[in-house]
Amino acid sequence: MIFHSLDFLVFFVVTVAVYWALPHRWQNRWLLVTSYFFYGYIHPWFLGLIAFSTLVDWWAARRMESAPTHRRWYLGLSIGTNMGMLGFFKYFNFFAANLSPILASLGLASTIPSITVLLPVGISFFTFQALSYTIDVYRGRLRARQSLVDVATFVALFPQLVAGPIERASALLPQVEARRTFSLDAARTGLLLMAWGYFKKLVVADSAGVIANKVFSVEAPGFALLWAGVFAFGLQIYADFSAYSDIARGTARWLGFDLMVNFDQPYFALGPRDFWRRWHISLSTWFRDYVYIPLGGSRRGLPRELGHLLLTFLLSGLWHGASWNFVMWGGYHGLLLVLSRLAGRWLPSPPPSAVPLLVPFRIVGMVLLAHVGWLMFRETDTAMLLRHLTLSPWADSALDRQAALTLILMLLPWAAPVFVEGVWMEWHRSSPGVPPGHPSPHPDWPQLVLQGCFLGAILISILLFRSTASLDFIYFQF
Amino acid sequence: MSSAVSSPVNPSGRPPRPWALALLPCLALCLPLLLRPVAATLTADATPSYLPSLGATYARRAFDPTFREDIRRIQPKYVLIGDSMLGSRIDPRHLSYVIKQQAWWVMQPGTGPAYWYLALKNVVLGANVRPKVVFVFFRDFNMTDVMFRLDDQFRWSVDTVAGPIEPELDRAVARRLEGTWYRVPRALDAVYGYRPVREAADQALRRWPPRLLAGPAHAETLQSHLNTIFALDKLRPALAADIASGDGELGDFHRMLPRSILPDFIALARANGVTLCLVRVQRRPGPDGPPPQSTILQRYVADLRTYVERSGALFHDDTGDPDYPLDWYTDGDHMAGRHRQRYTELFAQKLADVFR
Repeated sequence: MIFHSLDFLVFFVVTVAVYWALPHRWQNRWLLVTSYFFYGYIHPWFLGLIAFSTLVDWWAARRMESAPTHRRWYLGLSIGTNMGMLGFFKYFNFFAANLSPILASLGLASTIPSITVLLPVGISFFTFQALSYTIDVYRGRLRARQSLVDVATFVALFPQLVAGPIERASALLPQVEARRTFSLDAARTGLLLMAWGYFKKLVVADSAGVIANKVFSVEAPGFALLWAGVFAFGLQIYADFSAYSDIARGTARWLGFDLMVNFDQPYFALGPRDFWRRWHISLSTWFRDYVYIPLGGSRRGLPRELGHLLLTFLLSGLWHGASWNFVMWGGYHGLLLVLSRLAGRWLPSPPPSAVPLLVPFRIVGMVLLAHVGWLMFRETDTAMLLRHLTLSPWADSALDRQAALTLILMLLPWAAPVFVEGVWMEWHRSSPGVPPGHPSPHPDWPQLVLQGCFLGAILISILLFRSTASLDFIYFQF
Repeated sequence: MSSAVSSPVNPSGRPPRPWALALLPCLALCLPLLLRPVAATLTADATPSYLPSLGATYARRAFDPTFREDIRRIQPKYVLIGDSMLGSRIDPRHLSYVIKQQAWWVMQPGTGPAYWYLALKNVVLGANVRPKVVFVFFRDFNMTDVMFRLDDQFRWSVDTVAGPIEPELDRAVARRLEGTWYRVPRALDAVYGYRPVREAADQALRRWPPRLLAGPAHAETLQSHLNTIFALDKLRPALAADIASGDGELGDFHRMLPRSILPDFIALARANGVTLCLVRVQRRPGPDGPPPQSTILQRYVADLRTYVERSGALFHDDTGDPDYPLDWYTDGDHMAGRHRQRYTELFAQKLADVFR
């Protein structure tokens, strides 16, 4: 089921209404049933996968505690099951296609059959979420849970099941187990988050997506046209993915859960390191805690630290998709981090008085660097990607440049609200009280009226500007 | 609420205020009512559309009575409806001669199922004629693609067979554009009247960038340059082929059927005692034989045939027929004029049971 469908709104209203009428023990069972219904709505056979993964992880975690001498073996079983599923459904064809020519060149059997199965939606998300449970139990940071229902609800909780945020067991499982009571303020702030998410998805992301898709469907776009398309994609992917996170967080609040912030104005980042503190936070912290730090992190000297960084980002790229362009994208960001780490070590720091003056340049610079990355992310054809990277801006005609500028101007009305949100959030970042991303928990009358008008304005915008192209959430494919 | 959950949501634990939630939806739902007066201003002098799902107002062409008068005069026992696929294959006078019964057509190039349905409803049945059989000529996925040739470029021809309001066709278009829940945007439009404002806003958003960049005098040139950049022949070959073949959503018969006019088409014919016969023409063959049929297309056609025959209508498929080789074709899927009489004879022969 997808958030931006009326099916979901009906499902959500029924789920919430029944949920709060039930006692706590039954609430989790109801959540599990509705989450499985949500996940299996289009392809019921996907449920077998998530149920199997959950069962293995629940059992393995319990065995880690009851048979601690074999806990490494049970962790291996959990990792093997989750990564095996991911590897089979997501990466089998990729590796088969790349391995066949290598085997052939060695004179070995060269035909590895490809499989024609649909990639289960959200498999990369729920496997990583489930792994956070077994790894933390293995490390002794979390105790294994007896209740299969609680663990299954943690893995499958529908607001964040398909495209995150990837919640840690240590943060979400206690919420699943705790008694929850309905809070009007949680519902109100949840509604505001959901509305803003719907606006970003239906109005901003889908409108920008139409332009990006058009440009990337052209066989030989010129330099200006291509970059207009890349900027459209940069807006689309941010609005699309952050919209999903906002709707997920808003929906979860209606059920009494608090999910982590997944995006924190990434296009206002001051550099690569800052960008990854703000973009897809739940994934970048997952890779930090379960890949980068176990590899050794920064504890084994600079050269190995840089190697760990590169490897972590290559794996992060591969997580996004079984295609070389995603690996390149991951490698590119890894390289940016390596360079920024080296620059921080070897280049002299600017004088304190110059730091504020440099902020706009650093922000614009990082936006441009991020968009070079988006080109690699969006262009799945490696040959075309290499072609795009060698395009000359001087080959375009004046009319071509005007056409590209037209597309950029068409993007402006959709980029403006997102930009204003970013400026507002950055402005309030250092102010005391309510942190950005959290509407005030106890507003006064004027604030409530303002919030009501905000919701009305969102509804008007969706009625008037909702894109006729209803595109899937981009991260569904991962 | 437990501390683990409540701390970021309701930190101070003050008693909740029930009015807090009530005010928000009230304001949210009332504010868009401001669109109503704007819509009223925009539509003051405009003509309401016969297909409100495609736009509340529409400056249409007038109904063209020529075909209806022909049908009324000829009183044909067999009527053929279609676009240039029909026009390049059948000679209705020659067909009448071959089958020794009256046959006539409603043929308009550049049309799709919306036109064909309205042709049966408003032209054939509108002439108070009840033919024995009505043949509809189509290609591949056309019959369940109600939006085929209902865009700005071809809409004018639909005007010429449309009445003042076409509720069944409008519902089909709404189902296609809005899905199962198409009544919801309709209800929202009934309350807020937002559609005329949406259309005006959409046009304004499209027009201002070229006007700003090239000036009002040259905006059209810039716009047509953009159209050239994104023309079908400029797209990546795989993508262009996908668009041309319609594989994907269009190939899912069971998904497209409830979003098409086909069920209404068959029901209309049956309610009036007319047998509908769908004729799938063969697209341009390759040098080695019939045009390739993808798995999706084969499954689609099998599903279509089953549905049509179960609904009491007839189905005839030219595809794969060795009588129609490549040298019968001129451009695209059109047949050469010199083979029209022969095709007509073969058509009468292959469907002899129907003409009996």
